[in-house]
Amino acid sequence: MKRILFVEDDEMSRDVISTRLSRSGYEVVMAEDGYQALDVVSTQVFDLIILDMSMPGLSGWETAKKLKASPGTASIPILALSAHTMSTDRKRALDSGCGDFDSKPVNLPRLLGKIEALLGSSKQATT
Amino acid sequence: MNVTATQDITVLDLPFFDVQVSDTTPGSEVARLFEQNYSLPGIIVMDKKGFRGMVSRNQFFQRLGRLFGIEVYATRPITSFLDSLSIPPLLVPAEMTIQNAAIVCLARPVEYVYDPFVVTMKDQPPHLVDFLALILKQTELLTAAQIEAHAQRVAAVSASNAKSDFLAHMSHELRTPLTAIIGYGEILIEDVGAGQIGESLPRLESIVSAGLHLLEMINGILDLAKIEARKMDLFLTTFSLPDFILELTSIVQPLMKKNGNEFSVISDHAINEMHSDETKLRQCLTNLIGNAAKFTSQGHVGLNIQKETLEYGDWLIFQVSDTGIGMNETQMSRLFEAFYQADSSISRHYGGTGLGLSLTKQFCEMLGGNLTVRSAVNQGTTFTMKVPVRSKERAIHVSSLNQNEI
Repeated sequence: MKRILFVEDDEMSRDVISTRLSRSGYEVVMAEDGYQALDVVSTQVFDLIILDMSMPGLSGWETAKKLKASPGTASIPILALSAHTMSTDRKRALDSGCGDFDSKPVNLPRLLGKIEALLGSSKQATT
Repeated sequence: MNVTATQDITVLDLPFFDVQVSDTTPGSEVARLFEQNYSLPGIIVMDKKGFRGMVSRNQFFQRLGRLFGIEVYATRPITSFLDSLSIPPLLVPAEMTIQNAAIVCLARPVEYVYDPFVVTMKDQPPHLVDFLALILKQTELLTAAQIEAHAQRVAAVSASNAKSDFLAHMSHELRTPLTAIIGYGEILIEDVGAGQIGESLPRLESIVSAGLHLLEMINGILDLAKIEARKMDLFLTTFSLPDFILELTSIVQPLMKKNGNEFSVISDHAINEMHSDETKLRQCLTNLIGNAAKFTSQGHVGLNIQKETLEYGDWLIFQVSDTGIGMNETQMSRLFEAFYQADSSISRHYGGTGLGLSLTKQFCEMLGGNLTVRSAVNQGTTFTMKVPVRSKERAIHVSSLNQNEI
């Protein structure tokens, strides 16, 4: 089972999206902000990180940069998931090192498609 | 560009000269007058019927310097000089704008272009104005207009950026509760389909609470949009202030229980009646007191009402103070911006739409008053709302009073 780290500060969004991902067959670990996410990745292994962008404390953009700068986590694909949906928000997420971007509210088939694409491309990259 | 102000300025606003001689004055006397006053650009010549002509310094000395110039122009009356001119002097009515005067002055033949011109007024002697003074004034006005246009452009860009920011925030704030509503809805559809409805209740409750939050936000956004489009009307009535306070107290008292706060009201009884928009006033105070209760725990929230008499009428000062977490200066400086919450985690911990204070401030200003804040971290916050005892239909905004008291 693929392991996903889901980083999201809004409690309801965290509950809703993690439930849907679990039901879609992923093992989901949750973090409430960027600092917690960095803590969790230092001790556990993940196939993918789904990252909210505007979070208090360490934002998603900063978290993505830190994850990509660290050798231990640089190869984990990141999917930005944000309620900020302007084209500049997408670009900013990709510029921070995220592999793809999706918007909230979630369209589940589209989100799963993006997750699978990122998991597939990372498999190719590692083999 | 501030066209109106530029157009209000006429040739009458320019410095003028009114040195006059009669038509029989010899040229030598005119030359003496010019030599006595080096800034004099010209002299007006009058005859028995009134204005006869103008002697421009340039033209006069140019003619004196010609062959036999002194014999012809210095010894004879000044009319012989006037007759030597190939065009009559330029007469400009007093109400002509600087801009138009510059156009007609510059349209003169090249050898006369630097001459002064004559400003004529009904029932008053003509004045003489230096060409250079006109051009300097025109340059000054154009420079001022340029500066003004630049400032307006900067303001327009900043307003447009603020609007984009507002829309981006709004989109984000609306999408967040929708994420819960749609997501929980889809989960419940799956559950019902699978015949598993055991965990449904908290999810249904979440849908309702996210929906209510969304509704509150949409109402706030609509109010702000109405205010901006100037479609928000005041509904002014005369009502009893003591009754109003009594009712307000009964609304806000339950808000104190959650964080174990005490609430007290101190009121100056000098005012019994006020003429205002009761609903908006109540909304403002409920919001301020609700905020105070939210950001204070096991503390005190106070409402203090005082009357202030100023030369432009009676005012009511509503002070809402708390002993809560307070704010720093950075947080206070952006406090009244829509969707600004001192920290984005605040909406999670404390709830709220981020629109309440923005609306409260706008309502106060509509009523002809203002809202200010004083606060320090961990030392509580005091909001001071100042509204006229008698509001007017079209309230005058006292913008100088709207600065934050930091």
